[in-house]
Amino acid sequence: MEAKSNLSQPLSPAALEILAALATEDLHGYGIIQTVSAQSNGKVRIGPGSLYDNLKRLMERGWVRDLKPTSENEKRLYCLTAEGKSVLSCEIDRLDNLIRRTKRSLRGMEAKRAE
Amino acid sequence: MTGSSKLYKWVLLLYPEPFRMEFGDEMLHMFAECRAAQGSLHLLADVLLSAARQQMDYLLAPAPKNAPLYAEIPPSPDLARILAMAMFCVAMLLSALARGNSEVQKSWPTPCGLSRVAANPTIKQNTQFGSGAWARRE
Repeated sequence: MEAKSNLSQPLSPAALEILAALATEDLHGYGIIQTVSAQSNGKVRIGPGSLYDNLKRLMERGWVRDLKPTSENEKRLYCLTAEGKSVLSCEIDRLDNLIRRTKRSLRGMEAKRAE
Repeated sequence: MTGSSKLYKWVLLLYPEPFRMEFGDEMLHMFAECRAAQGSLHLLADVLLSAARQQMDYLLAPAPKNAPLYAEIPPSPDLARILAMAMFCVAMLLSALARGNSEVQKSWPTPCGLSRVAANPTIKQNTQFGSGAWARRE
């Protein structure tokens, strides 16, 4: 069942990577950078500037929130909100539909060439 | 602290203050952790671009600064506040009435020929400007 879409535009690649990283677990800033690099096999590298630009925007939209540290030595963690999970789910569904349609189209093209 | 770390710290000053207050410390700590994997130049370029983007966002829609002295107005009026306002209004009214009845001792000439004169029944006073009003000599 598709989640209700509340996105007017597709997510930017950086925002998608950050939301996908937070879908696994709550992470601090450097943890997000490491997870993004790992889930893209090192092809996507986000710097601190881009990371916090996107985190600020995602927090303003209510898709991500921060968990204040309980002690001074703890780092601030970020987590997905319920709305953030819904938005990520919609975006994944959109990309999934796009991938299936494109694969079907490519198979159709190959079949025509074979004829 | 290395030269690149110092430069990075200075570049962080380019961010708008609200952003810097919220994320500056984290970004500073992250520089040392990311430098090995991404390189100092890449990090500096990333932060410079990010600072420019944040400044543009801030100019287009400035975020309210944290105001620790701001107190929320309670939903229901406070009796003490109402009494204080009432007393203030009464004091202002009494002050205005007292100034209206008082006599101005001095008058002085003005470039326009108008003079500020003592209460004199022969001179019309413009009470729009309160006591001691500018009046035209007849």
